[in-house]
Amino acid sequence: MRRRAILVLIGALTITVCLSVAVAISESDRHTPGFPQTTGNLQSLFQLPINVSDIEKAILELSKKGVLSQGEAEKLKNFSNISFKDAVARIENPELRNSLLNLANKSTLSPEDIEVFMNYLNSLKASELLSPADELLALRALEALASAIQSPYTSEILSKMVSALKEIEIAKSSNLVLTFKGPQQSSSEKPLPIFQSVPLPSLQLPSAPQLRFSLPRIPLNTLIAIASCCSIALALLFSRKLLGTFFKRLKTRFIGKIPTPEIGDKFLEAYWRSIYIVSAISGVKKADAETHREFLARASERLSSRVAEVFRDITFAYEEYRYGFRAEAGQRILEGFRRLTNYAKASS
Amino acid sequence: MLVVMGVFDVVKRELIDRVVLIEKERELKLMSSALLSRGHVLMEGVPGVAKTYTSKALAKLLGLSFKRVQMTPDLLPSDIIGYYVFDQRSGGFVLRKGPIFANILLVDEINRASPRTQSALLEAMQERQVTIEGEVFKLEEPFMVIATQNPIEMEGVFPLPEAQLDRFLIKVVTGYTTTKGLIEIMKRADEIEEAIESLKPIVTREEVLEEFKRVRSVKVDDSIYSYIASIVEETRRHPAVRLGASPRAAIALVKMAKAWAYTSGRDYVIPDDVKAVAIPVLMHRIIVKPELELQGVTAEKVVEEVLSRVPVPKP
Repeated sequence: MRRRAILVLIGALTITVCLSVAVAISESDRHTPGFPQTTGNLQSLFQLPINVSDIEKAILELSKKGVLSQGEAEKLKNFSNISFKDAVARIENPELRNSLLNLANKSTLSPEDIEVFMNYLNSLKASELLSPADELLALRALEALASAIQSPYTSEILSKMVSALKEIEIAKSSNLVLTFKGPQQSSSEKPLPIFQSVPLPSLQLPSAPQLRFSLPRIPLNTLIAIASCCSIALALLFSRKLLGTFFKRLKTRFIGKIPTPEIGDKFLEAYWRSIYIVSAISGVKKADAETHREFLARASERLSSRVAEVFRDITFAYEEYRYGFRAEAGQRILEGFRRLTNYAKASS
Repeated sequence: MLVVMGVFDVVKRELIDRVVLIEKERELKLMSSALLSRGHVLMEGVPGVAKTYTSKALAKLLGLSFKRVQMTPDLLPSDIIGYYVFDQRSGGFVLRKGPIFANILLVDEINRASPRTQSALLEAMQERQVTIEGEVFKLEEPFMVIATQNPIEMEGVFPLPEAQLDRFLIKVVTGYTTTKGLIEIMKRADEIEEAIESLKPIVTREEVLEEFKRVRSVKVDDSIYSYIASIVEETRRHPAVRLGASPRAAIALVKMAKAWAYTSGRDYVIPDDVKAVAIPVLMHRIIVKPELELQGVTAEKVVEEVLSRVPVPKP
């Protein structure tokens, strides 16, 4: 029983410690299973302090490397400083120009308007009616409109520009190694320094969902509390034996001063004092419904053979004296009691 | 301590130590104690657990007259106690004594007999006498009925009424042996049969009667009487019990405790003696509530629980 309790406590303690370590390690990257773990990069897409100047620098770099044609570079010249009207004017696609002008004529620019326009841009791109330069200019014009009304979607428009630039790079620089790479990028593939000044995001697709062991959120404090309780319980269990030995010695040390049951018969008193001593030595207490022999058998299992033999003599003498009405057995009880006391004192 | 070679010592030496009966020491000690208490024994066990062999071996060893009756539904009371027949030579009726006129009567499968025949045993068991045609005949001492019954038979049996069950001093439930014991039985089956058949009486009837007196003189302290009274009363208070132990049960417990102490070599009763015989003495006298019986509560368990609750005499 005691062994089982210790094993259970050790098990509980181990699990708690493991959980604590796991919680401490994984507290920061706790995520929902099945979703990519690179959410931080995606979040940074919207959080990076990209501005139009950065985009312009990137355009210049691409021009220098020949990714952008002369005409495209010319159209995108002074990209950061062009106004809405200039941007619209430089766009070749008339429909796109009209759409932007219609947008500008609206009194307010709602998120729905921006979303509709973005979808419109995507549809033009899909039908190959939109050149990269026009796309960038359209986005610049839209950004100008959004900035004017301090719309929170400015950063989203800027990141769309970054995506457009990335697509230009991919489409036109087949000889060049891809600049925008995800975490899987090999060390041999060195990125071009074109966008080093621009903190470009990793626009990789979400990785395939992975099954990961996910634990319910348990506060670290709770786990520490459980671990402390288990430790205390274990300490108490282990110390019980030591304390038991200590108290046993303490009890046997005071054998001469044990409380004498008031029976009025020195022989019977000697027997009950013997029971007290045996209980102290063996740690076995006599139950009320237990017979003298049952107690003898139970206590003997924990006594040394010499002490058990002495206590056996005392018990049998007690039975003869108490139930057999043999007065001479009384002396045997006393004699046995003296021997038992000596053994007990010697063992303490 | 007693140094007299008692009935049980002889039985143990001849039957247990010489491996005539295997793993039957407890049953034999209980039966010997019952005999010395002038009581009757009801042996319960499934077929083939040596109920009849044990009884037969005990009777043979004690040099007492032994009769056996196989109970059947058509058996008549006169088949057991006897009857008068007309003797043409003498021109009068002569008594033809039934098997009950024996020291030890083995009634095999008592629950197969009709209630009328079972009740014929009542007077003999309690009064130690039989009445035939209005004439009373005293049965010779010692007189002991050892009845066996099979607990699993449900059809063609007549369960013993409570009044008759109470007449039995003890009920001995005998079960299967251990695997080791079973192997020993298989190896020595023929030898065992021969050994039982060739058993010779070792204890005479007079010696048995002398032991009756010794058992009667076994000392019982007042605290033991109080202990027995507490046990008996506790069976009546037990929540699972419909009918607790009667005063006759208390008397039986005292008698058996004395005999048990004697067969253990003492002339005084200790609480261990009471505990040792409490279950065989009380289990067939206690009726458990039917609803709890269905849940597996048995009279044996009730007595065990009572014994674990009632404090032994102190100091």
